[in-house]
Amino acid sequence: MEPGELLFGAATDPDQVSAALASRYELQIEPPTSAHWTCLDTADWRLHNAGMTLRDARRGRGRRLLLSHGAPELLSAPAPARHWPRRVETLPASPVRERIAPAVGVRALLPLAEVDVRSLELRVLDDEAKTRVRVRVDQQRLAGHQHAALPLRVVVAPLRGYERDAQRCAELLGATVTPIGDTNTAVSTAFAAAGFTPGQPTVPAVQLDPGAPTVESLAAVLRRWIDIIDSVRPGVLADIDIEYLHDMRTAIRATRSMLRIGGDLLPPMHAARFAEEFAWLGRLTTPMRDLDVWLLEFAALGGTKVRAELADLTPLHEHLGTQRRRALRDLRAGLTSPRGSALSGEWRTALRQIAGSDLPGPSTRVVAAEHARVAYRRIVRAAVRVTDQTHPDELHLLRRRCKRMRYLLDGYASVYPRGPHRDVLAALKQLQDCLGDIQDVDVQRRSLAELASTLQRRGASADTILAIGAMRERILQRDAAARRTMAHRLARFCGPVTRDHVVQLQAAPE
Amino acid sequence: MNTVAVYNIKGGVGKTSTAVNLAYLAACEGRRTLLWDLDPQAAATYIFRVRPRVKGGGERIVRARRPIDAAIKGTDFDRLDLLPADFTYRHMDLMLDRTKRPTQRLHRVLEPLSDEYDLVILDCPPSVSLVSENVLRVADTVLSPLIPTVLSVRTLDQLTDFVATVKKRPRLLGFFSMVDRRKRLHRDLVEQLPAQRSDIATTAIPGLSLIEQMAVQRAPVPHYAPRSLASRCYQRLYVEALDGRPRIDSAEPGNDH
Repeated sequence: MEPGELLFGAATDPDQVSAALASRYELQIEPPTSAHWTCLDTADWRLHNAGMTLRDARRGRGRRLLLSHGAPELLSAPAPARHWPRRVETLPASPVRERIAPAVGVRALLPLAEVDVRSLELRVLDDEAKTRVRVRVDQQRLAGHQHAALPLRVVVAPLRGYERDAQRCAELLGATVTPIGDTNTAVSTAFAAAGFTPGQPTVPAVQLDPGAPTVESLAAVLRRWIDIIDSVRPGVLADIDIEYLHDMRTAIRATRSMLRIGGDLLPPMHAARFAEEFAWLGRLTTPMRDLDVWLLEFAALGGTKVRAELADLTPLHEHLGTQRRRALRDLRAGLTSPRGSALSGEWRTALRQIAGSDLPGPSTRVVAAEHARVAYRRIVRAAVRVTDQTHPDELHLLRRRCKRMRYLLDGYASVYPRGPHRDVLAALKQLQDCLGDIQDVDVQRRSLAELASTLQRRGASADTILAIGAMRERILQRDAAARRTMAHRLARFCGPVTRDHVVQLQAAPE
Repeated sequence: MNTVAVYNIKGGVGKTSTAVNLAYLAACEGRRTLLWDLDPQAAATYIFRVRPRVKGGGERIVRARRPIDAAIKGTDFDRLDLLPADFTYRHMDLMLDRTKRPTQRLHRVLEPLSDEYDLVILDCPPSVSLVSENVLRVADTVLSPLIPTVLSVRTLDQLTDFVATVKKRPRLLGFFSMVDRRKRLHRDLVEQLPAQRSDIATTAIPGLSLIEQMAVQRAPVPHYAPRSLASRCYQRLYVEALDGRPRIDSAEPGNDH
């Protein structure tokens, strides 16, 4: 709930609120006003998950961003001139931006629900006609074609020094008009009315039947990944934020990985054709993602001492920006090409056929456990050869094996016993993070060398080239740190505890 | 946090009206403002309809036995809070005298509020006392209303000498208050002195019944008569003395909820 917020049923008459208060207090009722709220969150509910709600509130000609963040008072700041979606760094500097930035990260704020509000302000007066409490009664309706009535929102706001009076008013209202619980906020009910479930992923996880034929479960898992690809596609095309592309690439890799692991269960024609199609889609997205990672690296340097020393990297930054614009153009062209447009539909048709086919085979639980065991063994085999001098290409192969196991554990999550699944996944994630760092460093090191030669050919200053050298130094330091961590994480993952957990994956889920 | 004291040795010169109206204009402009009614007569407290009582009396505030923020009351206007007067303030000199470093006490009391408010306005009682000494030490600006008479100007000189005794001198700015344009002496002084002395503001506040009505309306003038001559004069004084933005149409924003 926001500070002082009470929600009553949508059918509650505002007069019930004023009548309840007037039965005990002197009231002054201000003329009604109207407002419009745009309720904001990221596509993956980062504000909601951090216990915050954010609204762009328009009242008259004024617009304010209002943030509820668990404190007794809302944070407020002027709203940006341009409309939503927007990334946090494009908002004007304000306490609101400062507060939400760590939670929102690289994601954009999306306008997920539009609400029309008719407000009535009641002032609760004392015997000197001094306002002690302000009570705002908001009749809300979802804007747009749905126009659904939302709960009646009442905000009891004490004036400083009169908190007890506000508490009494809230108690009186709670006793005379029945509130609808204290877990929802006006913003979350607006999201729900607009068709969202705050906190839940756009594409929910699949619940598999452990006893069902594997091919049926495999089709369900693959359908979820294509659902994710389709759900993030508009965000990728509109370049709303970089996570849409990241999610798309994860889903593509997971699809390819599952095709490789379970491809023998599918009709060979389907497996081979779509393996190639998704490989193409993956390649299409790679240049853009690499540039996103690069630009993130720049953002991470912002405000640091290193950044100050690297002022001469501006030409490199501009060069990357230009390359990203080109990469985005190519990506859009690919996704909207006949091949890109048809892929999802054709794949869905194939999945329907696969799920409907009456192929015999072992149960999902047996196959999932066996796949996990094999995937684990492959990782361990590769891991024993790893030293702190191992070439990045070899570590990349190890990382790919880890990813395959990860997609397996994600896809078949519901057929594994929960405890061992959680423990194996935790150890695997740690290892993956570390290997990911090492690979990022390697890619960036190579790219920096290429970029330095490109910029040198274009006549970049010596300072710029030196600055790139300094940046390379910093990247190599990260490599050394990641390799030190890797040794511990490999030992943990390949050790007896995780091995036992992998064996336990063969047990039936609780 | 900027601290402004509205102070004069004499009483009945328009200190409270000035403090209340300037505090209101600052809040309208968006500054988080606290008005501390130090005068036991509690006129500013009365105008804002707050009870003239501080739990534990002035002693608890002065001796820091109770956090000052617990005594603050919100007014009916956004961003404008009041630290009400209490009748025990009539003994504030004695209370201060009993503390360590008695001339720096108010400074210590207000220090914890420095992040919370952009502006603190002190509505001071008329006297030369330990309270006044504290006020001069804590204030960045001392605004002194003057009735346009020769004796009043002499009072400003006395005040200048008094301010000179403080190590970190606040800026002292006199301004003519309760000006009656029908009186030749008033007209002459208002026209001539600001041109001759940099410590007298060019803005003068007329003696209008509309201003006297503050005690009847129990509200600041710009709230109940926003386009009146009196409001415009206070707005000009706000701009001149407190670096406010030159506008009067800043509607009171409702609460943000």
